[in-house]
Amino acid sequence: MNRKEYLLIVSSLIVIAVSPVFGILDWSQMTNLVLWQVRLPRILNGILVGSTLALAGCSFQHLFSNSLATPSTTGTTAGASLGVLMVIVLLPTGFWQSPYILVLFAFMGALAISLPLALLATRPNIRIEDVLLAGIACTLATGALTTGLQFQADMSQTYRAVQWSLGSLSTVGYRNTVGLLVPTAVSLLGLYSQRRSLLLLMSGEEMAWNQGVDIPSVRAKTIVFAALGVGASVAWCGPIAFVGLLVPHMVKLFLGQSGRLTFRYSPIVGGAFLVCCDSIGRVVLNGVELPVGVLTAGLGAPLLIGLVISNRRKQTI
Amino acid sequence: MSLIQLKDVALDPILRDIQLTISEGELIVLVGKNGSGKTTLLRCISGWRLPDSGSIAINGIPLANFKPTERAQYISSLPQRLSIHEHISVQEWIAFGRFRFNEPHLQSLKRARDLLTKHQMAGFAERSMATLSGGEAQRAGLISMMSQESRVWLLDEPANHLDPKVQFDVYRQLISAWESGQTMVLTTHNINLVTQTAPIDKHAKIKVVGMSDGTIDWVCTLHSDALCDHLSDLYDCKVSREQGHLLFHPPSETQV
Repeated sequence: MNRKEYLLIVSSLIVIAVSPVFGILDWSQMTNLVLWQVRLPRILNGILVGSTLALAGCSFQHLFSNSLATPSTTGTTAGASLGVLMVIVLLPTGFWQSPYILVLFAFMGALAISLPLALLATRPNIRIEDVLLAGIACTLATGALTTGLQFQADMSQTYRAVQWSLGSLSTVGYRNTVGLLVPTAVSLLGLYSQRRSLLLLMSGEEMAWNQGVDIPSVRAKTIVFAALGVGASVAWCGPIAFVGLLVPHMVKLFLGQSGRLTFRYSPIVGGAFLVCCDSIGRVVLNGVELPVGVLTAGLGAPLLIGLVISNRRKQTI
Repeated sequence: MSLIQLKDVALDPILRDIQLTISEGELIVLVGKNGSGKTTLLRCISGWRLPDSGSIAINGIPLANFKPTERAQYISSLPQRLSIHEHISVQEWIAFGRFRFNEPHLQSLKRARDLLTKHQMAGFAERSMATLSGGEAQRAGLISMMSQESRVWLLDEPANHLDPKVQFDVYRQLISAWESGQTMVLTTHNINLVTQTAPIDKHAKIKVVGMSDGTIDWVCTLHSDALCDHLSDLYDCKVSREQGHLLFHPPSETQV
């Protein structure tokens, strides 16, 4: 490990360690209850969701050989949104007051779009570009259905849907954390196990095939494992944008080259980045919480642009 | 000993009725006009394209029965053009060739470094693949094939787009690998690269396979007297042999 890798790990750990007490002015508010039932589960959610989104983004960027691929490229988020709206609009009000029903439908919606795509990706003579196109088409079609449903919704239903779509890690107790733990852990381990095959894809699928990569298998496993983790994240915490897109690029640009290290450090940095954005969102406006997605994009985008510029400068010298 | 057998391979509309045996230690040079199916044939042998009918077998076992990593132990293939836009060091990229061994990363890296040193490319180990010239990338590609240590190499136009000196470098490297026992199939439009780099006494051992319209028209050795006539028919232009090399004569005005 070199100095930059240590720096990355240490700063990630510091960010996570500091976040529970970040922004506290009045220490008397920091009771045991707040620490253990509000802050800690929220941080755990952030770590699980952030690391899953970052690793899924990193995996998809390699799978699709496209640096714009995100964990939602295969329609995961769009499917989850449709699921949530279906509950809110089509089922009686009582149903969507239960968070479990919402989570269940969001999760099923995410898988309902992603799994057929995984199946499509294993068919012979399907190019990965076709899978990408199909993913985008599914996202758009699902989005249209969602909009159609929104049109049917009344004020309170729309409000609830918008509230969900902003995404939030806030929670009381460990219900979300427990719900997230299994799918995200399976997703993280599953995606990480595909990293060697995914890396070889950078020379093109044909070359990777010649070197012994099982192309149909790596496509299917990557899409399924990502859908599992991302679907669960979206279901419990709502869509959280940009983490999956930005974090792998930030890690790659910071460490310089080697995709191998991007796979290793994306989950750690993704977790820390999301926890950091969430903590800032919690305190930046006095008394009101800023949706975490606003922060991930607002902080992530300039950071990424800065890294791109500084890297280009290094290369031209 | 026959290593790979192709029987009645067809892939509509590109290939038809392909019969070919690749034996241990052979050098097969595939020639044919553009679009005659050379590249697709190589892709069928590597398993990347599935033929519509016919069979391809390694040691009598159908190609489709092999797990990808097992197949990679027999066959490696270098596409016509590598395009790597990621910033990855040459030695890490070459280590990808070790995928089938499922060994620790550091061991793969060491193998890659050893091969680079052996082929006078040690200075490139830390260079980014994305910054290599065409010739350098092709040489890196050859070394990556070597790192895979498979029994048969398939090479599609290995010296395409390279300057004359580098073309000879690449072919010298290939011929020397063949002379030390490597089996290989390569496609080329410039058969003289083979005649000029392979020692003349070995020409009788090099098999030339002529393809047209998706099928194999003829097979002969590089040494064979029939080669000139075969090539003349294949390319519709007169071919003669001068001091061991093949001379392609431009078609006369009346023919144009």
